[in-house]
Amino acid sequence: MSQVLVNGLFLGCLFAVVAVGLTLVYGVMEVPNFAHAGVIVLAAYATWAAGDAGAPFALAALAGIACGAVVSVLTEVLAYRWVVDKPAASPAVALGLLLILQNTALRGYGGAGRSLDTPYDTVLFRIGPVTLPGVKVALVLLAVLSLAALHLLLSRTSLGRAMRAVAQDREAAAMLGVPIRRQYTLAFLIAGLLGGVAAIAYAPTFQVSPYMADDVLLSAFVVVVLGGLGSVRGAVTGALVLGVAESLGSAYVSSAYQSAFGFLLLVLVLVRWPSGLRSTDARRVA
Amino acid sequence: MLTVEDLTVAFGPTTAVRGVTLHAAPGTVTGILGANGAGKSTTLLGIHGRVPRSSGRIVLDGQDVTGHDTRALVRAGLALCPENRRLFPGLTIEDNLLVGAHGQGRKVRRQRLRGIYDRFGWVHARRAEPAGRLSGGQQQTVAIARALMSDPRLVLLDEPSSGLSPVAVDEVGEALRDIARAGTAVLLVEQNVRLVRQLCSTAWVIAHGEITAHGTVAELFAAGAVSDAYLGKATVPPDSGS
Repeated sequence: MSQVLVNGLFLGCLFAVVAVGLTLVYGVMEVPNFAHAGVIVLAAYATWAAGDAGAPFALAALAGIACGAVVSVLTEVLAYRWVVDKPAASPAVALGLLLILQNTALRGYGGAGRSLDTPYDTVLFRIGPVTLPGVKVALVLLAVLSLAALHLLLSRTSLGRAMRAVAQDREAAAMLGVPIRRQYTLAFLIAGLLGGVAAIAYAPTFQVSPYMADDVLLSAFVVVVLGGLGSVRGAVTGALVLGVAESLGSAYVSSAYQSAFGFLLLVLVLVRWPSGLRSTDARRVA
Repeated sequence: MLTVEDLTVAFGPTTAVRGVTLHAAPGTVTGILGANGAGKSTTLLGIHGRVPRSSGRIVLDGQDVTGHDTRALVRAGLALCPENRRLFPGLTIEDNLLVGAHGQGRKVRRQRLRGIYDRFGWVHARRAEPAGRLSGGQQQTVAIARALMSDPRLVLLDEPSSGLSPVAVDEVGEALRDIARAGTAVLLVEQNVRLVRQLCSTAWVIAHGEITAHGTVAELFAAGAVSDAYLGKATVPPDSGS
């Protein structure tokens, strides 16, 4: 049982890092950023390529995170920015961007999966009956550190305050002289950094491939809806709940239906709380 | 202080404000009066660059700021306190105030915050509370304080008494009087006639998007210009080009 819960925690941390990037962008710009999966893919390939070229893992990881940030900002500057006032267009643009990013990876590296080796691949921690693989411990540490940094940015800095203001009332923030477009770019920059973190945390347990992030993107969207659209704290709560639910379902019912448990949970939550666990405009990006 | 010349705002084929010219002087509260839909709020939004202007010239303290975007206008000293307060309900009162000074250095922000807390003591006491928990009158005070955080030379105020109790209206009126006394100009759009009579020295009457009368508030009331505007009797002068 404790091993199942710990596995759920690992899964929840991965969902949290991806979902917070999605919900942040949704909170500030109201865009369902499907292209986030493509950002994760390119960040994972950048990490793999840097490692393959001989860079130490830490440097390769930084290259991957930087790649995620740059690609994410480019999607905002070159595409999303131009449809911000056209809510019907943004999902189509997001899907188109996802295809472009995935096909960029496909053309550059082919469809075959590549393994991302890390210095902690073979490390195993044992606490009583629970086994903790090094890659999963690293995932939890990265998730906790990056989400703590995000919390500090949003709650303690002028940039974070402006971003929360824009998420709650864009027009009122503009009236006060807050540069709105800069907040969009900043949201995508943070989402891209988190996407890069997700890539280096996630890729070692699976393989780097153009479609590696599809499943996790789907789960992350479940998390975003569970937690309440635009709510960062809701996304973290939703991610942990979903991770544990999927892990329990997979262990005690059938692993073939792992994702189905997430959707079942989503239906149950939405029946009770139709707007998600923490969704009000006042909680946007908070 | 503020001179607006020939301001026209159109939304597609519909002209909401046509050829509005007005002035506001430092240390005074100047009113813009008129019925619902007359174009008062659109005039304020046009001055502040929140709606596209078809024509017009905005001069603030002798500086032509016509081409400035809202951010540059705020930096030039033009603050807008919008209708319905528009506070950020999930942010604390202090965070709401600090957003009003966005782009300023930490030292300046803290200094202005101290000024606000000196002026509105209860705001300091409740600074850590979410703004969404405040009553309407308290929210209006915070909205005015937030506008003051940009250290404006002119505050554009849109219907500050809307939805407030008479006691809260009096408190807001007192705050506005203090602001004007400190030398800041206030351009006030307001439907509450009592508040207008208490605060405004001069006013501009607007009907169907055009200025129909101007003068001291006493003159306008005596001439019936205000009641005509509110009751829909005001007509645009024949030489106005409409």
